[in-house]
Amino acid sequence: MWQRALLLGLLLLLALAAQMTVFHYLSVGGALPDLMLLFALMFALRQGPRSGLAVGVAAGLLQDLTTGTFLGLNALTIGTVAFLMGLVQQKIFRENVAVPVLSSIIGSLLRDGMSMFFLAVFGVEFAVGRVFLEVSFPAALYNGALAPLLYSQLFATDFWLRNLSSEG
Amino acid sequence: MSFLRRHKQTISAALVVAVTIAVMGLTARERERITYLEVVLLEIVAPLQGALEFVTSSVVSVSDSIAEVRTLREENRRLEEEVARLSHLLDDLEELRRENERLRDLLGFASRYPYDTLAAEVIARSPGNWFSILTIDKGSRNGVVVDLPVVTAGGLVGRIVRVTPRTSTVMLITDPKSGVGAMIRRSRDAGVATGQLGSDPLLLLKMFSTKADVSPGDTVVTSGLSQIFPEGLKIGTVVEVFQGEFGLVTQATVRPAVDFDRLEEVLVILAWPRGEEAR
Repeated sequence: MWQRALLLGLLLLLALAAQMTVFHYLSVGGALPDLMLLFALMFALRQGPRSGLAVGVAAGLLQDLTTGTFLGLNALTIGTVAFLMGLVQQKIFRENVAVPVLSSIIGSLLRDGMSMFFLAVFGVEFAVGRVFLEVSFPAALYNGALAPLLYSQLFATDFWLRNLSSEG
Repeated sequence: MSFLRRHKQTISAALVVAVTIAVMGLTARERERITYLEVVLLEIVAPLQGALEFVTSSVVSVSDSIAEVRTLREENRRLEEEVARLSHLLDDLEELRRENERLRDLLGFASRYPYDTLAAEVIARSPGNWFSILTIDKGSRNGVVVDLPVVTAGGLVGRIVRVTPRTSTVMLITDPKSGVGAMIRRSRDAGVATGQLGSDPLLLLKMFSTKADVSPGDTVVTSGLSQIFPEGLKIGTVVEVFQGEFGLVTQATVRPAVDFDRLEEVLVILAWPRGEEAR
């Protein structure tokens, strides 16, 4: 159990570091993928709403502490979206490859919608339509494209760890 | 009592959400000090980011070089001509500098002091699409403190907003929370340049006067009014001028002078002459 938690923590730190470095060279039209959200969504789809919520809050909090402003914005939005997607996964056939893709696109748009709401509440001025078209939509598509890759890799690692735990 | 028991989970969740929103509101403004947790996290992630940034930029650099091999010969010939031309230009500039110094002496003005700067490497960028920040590899151990301006040879990059012993966070001028005292170099009309959310990092320049003399192509520089940035640092170039809401303010979009996607090294201005000192 502790091995899985440790590995998850390390993977989240690595994903955060990659998002702040490598993925800036791989941005599409200025849009960055949201690895923290993808992580949480993949866990939510595979293990249900509670796991999604826990991983989402942890991932969001890491991102919040790194950004240093509006602490809790990412934890709240990623946690909520992962929880909701976790509820949905109980009613769908999650092995279908379209599921992670669609969940990532919908989840990204939902998270950005929540983020925009809170930023507007706290006085940040922006043009909703422009931000949606130029930032949220390309980022959602990017997340959707990355999702199947992350989905398979993440759970291959998890499967390996489970075997390791049972052998130990 | 039974109501509380029945809805324990819902009430707990609502409380957590309320507290989170309150914390969000409290941290929406800039803080003088950061938490110990943030220091620990940033210090742990920094070496990892440094390594990843080094590997990635090396790979990008090598691939760029390979792609440019075909044009290298042509480029080399062109550069040789350019070097010859620039050498002449340098000679001319040296003459002008000497003449300028003599004129300044005549007018009784002292030459401006050079800024006291610290070179730093960019080790990480924004973790999301909402805020524009950079992490650099110099911190309080190197004399960096909050609010110091950060520049490149091209112009203004931003200012320090958080400092740990070995790293600092720079809020870029394109961040939606950033506001820089600015003026049009040609007309000296002043305003505030703020960042905007969006894929194209254009700044919004709100002029203080409705009759401000500003046109596309004008160079925008720091006004020095905020005391955070020295006067005269290049911010960018005016792209478009328009009237704001109800025609009460003149506004302009400004393309920053710095290419924020390609930043690798920056200079932190540790000290500069202010007020009377600057004259």
